[in-house]
Amino acid sequence: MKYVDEYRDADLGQALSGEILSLVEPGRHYKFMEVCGGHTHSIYKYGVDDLLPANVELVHGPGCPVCVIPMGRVDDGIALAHQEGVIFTCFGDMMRVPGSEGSLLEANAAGADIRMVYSPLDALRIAKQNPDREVVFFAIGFETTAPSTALTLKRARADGVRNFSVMCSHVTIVPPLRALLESPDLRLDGFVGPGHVSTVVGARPFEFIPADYGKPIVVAGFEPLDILHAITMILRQLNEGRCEVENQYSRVVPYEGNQRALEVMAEVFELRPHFEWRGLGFISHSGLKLSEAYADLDAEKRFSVPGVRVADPKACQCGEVLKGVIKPWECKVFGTACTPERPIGTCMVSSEGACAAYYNYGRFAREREVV
Amino acid sequence: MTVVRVDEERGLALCEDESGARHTVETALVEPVSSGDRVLVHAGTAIAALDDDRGSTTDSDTKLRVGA
Repeated sequence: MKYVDEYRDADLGQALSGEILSLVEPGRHYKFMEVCGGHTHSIYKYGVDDLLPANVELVHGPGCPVCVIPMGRVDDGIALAHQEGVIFTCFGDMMRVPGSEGSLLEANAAGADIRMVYSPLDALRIAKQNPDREVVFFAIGFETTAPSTALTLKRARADGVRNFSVMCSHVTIVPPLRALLESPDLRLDGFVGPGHVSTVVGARPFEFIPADYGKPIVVAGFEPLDILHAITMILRQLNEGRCEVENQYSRVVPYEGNQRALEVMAEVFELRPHFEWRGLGFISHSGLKLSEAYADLDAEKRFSVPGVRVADPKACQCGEVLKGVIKPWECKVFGTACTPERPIGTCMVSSEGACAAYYNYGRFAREREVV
Repeated sequence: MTVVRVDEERGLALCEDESGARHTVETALVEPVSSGDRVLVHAGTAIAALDDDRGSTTDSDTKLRVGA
């Protein structure tokens, strides 16, 4: 298939691997963060890390939308789902995320009407089909999914659907990256930038990374050759003493982003003063809520939600995994008490979570083969 | 996904994914689209149209390597 097969060519992968080997300085350790959970999965699915020299380390960033939702937020969703007459809708991944007293899936088994949807548009359709029920959509995700929620809210308004509302937990990518760069525990040499978020926001918002922190960032696609190529581009920047934002994924990502998506988001959302991230704590101006013009479609205003902050389970180290401080196998419960079937932490739940990627692709071992 | 059929009036398109499954997709952010176009879909909304001709030295470098 066009745009897919050619980016998975094994011989070209080997050639790029050789190129990376020729670009690294022996004796220097390179630490690059891939921001997006989609990249983490591609890396382990295709064995991209096995094509890298031992002194090039990839650490995994906070770009997994399900993983960063704190427990208290799941509890709020469950409380909402249990309210009389409510049909609660959310993405499939979100159903299995543990709250302090179980997941949405368990709440569903206990009698709450919780339905998995593929898109917010599906949730709106359920609202139209059930005019005597209140349909709430649990909106999560970065700028990749926020436009979809925004368009659905506009559609609900245009179609005069009154029994639909949104519990908005959308987040933005720049504030957590800034928080990570401010953190002293992580010394990074560069970033593989998030490809799909950038289709919406563009590559420009990442200019602060080279400008303020002196690190290169290359926005990359999700096929194995995209990631390998992005790594050669970061290494070339380092070797040539350059430090800038480059766009490896320009077949999809325009440097300025998708203006129509940005406009619709600006109309429907506004920034929350602060939002809690799992493992990262409260980050200023990092979450979205519905704007005044759409406040009547805000589920948190229509219903009462507990809004209680709940500490993460002690055994779970998702926070350190999300910050790239530890690798999933360094967590005490990885692969033992915490598995995709019975997850303790969010990173083991989501298809974009780093722990799930390590577990599903058999990365239990610490050692990597050296090429 | 690949656009199969466009419903311009409602701003929707029927699209087919890699596995052949078909989905209704919101197209307001990438219009105009026509059948056969490739679009990137997230949560039921097309957020980008794949563009082979978008000028760039970097991706064209990848394309050159992969012979796309």
